[in-house]
Amino acid sequence: MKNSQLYKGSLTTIVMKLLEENGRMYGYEITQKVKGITKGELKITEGALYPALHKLEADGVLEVEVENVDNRLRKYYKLTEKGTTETVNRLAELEDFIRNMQTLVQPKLDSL
Amino acid sequence: MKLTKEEILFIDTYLKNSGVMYLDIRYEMMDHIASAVEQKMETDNDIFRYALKNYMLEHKNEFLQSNRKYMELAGRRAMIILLKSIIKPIFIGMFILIYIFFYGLTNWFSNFDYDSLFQIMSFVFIVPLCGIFLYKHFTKGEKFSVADKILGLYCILNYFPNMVFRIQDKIHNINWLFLYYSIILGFAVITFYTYIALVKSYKTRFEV
Repeated sequence: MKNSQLYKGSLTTIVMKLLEENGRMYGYEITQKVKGITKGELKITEGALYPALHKLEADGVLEVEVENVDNRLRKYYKLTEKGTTETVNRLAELEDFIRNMQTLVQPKLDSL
Repeated sequence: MKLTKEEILFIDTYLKNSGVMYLDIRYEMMDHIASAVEQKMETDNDIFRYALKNYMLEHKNEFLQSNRKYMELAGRRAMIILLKSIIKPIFIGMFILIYIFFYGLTNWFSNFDYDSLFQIMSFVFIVPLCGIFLYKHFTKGEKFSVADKILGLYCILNYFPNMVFRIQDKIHNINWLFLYYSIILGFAVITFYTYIALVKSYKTRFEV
């Protein structure tokens, strides 16, 4: 993942936001969606995405549906009721974070 | 361009040979790799083998890292599932029943050989549970992560106190001894029950 330290903490929030918007998604679809939205700027690696998805599933934030697609099984993730509430909270937290960062960084930008 | 069944099977074998031994994580990786390879074949006009080779050269370490983390998570989940099972009222009732069973037989029969009965009852569970675990590991048979970790935990937790340290030989008070029997046998029943339920749910989920 690009700028890993900055993005790492937001990975689960990004995934949850995407699932909130799209209903259900599978792993590869999530990586492609993020790549598409950010025009290739942000690439989620498999080594970061799947552990995050599995952790969210274990915590009851996500639930899984398995379907047979194109000769193979596909695991779709979707938000649980708990996950939907959690997404709202996480997005609010992220917005606060961005606002605070802007406040901190802005004076320096102004002085340039 | 969609991959054929043979090509999907090739990816499966490749992952298995790379150390991704649990079927549940392999299915997910297989779908991811197949989707990426299909896209690569379309955009780069590559044939299957080249598309797979190029993709895996770039991403193999990521998948192996994901596999390692998945196994760690499976171990933690197995422990949590077993702990949650132990505190269920039905299993607490079973501990008490096993205790009463041994206590009752000792009172009814003056020469009752409780140690032999305990050993026989232990083996009834040890043989299938540890047998499945060892068989699947030595034959590289298909296994599901959390279910396999539960078996592994059982083998370790049963082997050391019961076989290596032989705690039962060091307990001289009969009440404590029967309590120990209840814990060991109750734990075996819990493991057996949990393992069967988990494998059943995996098979339903993955239709195997």
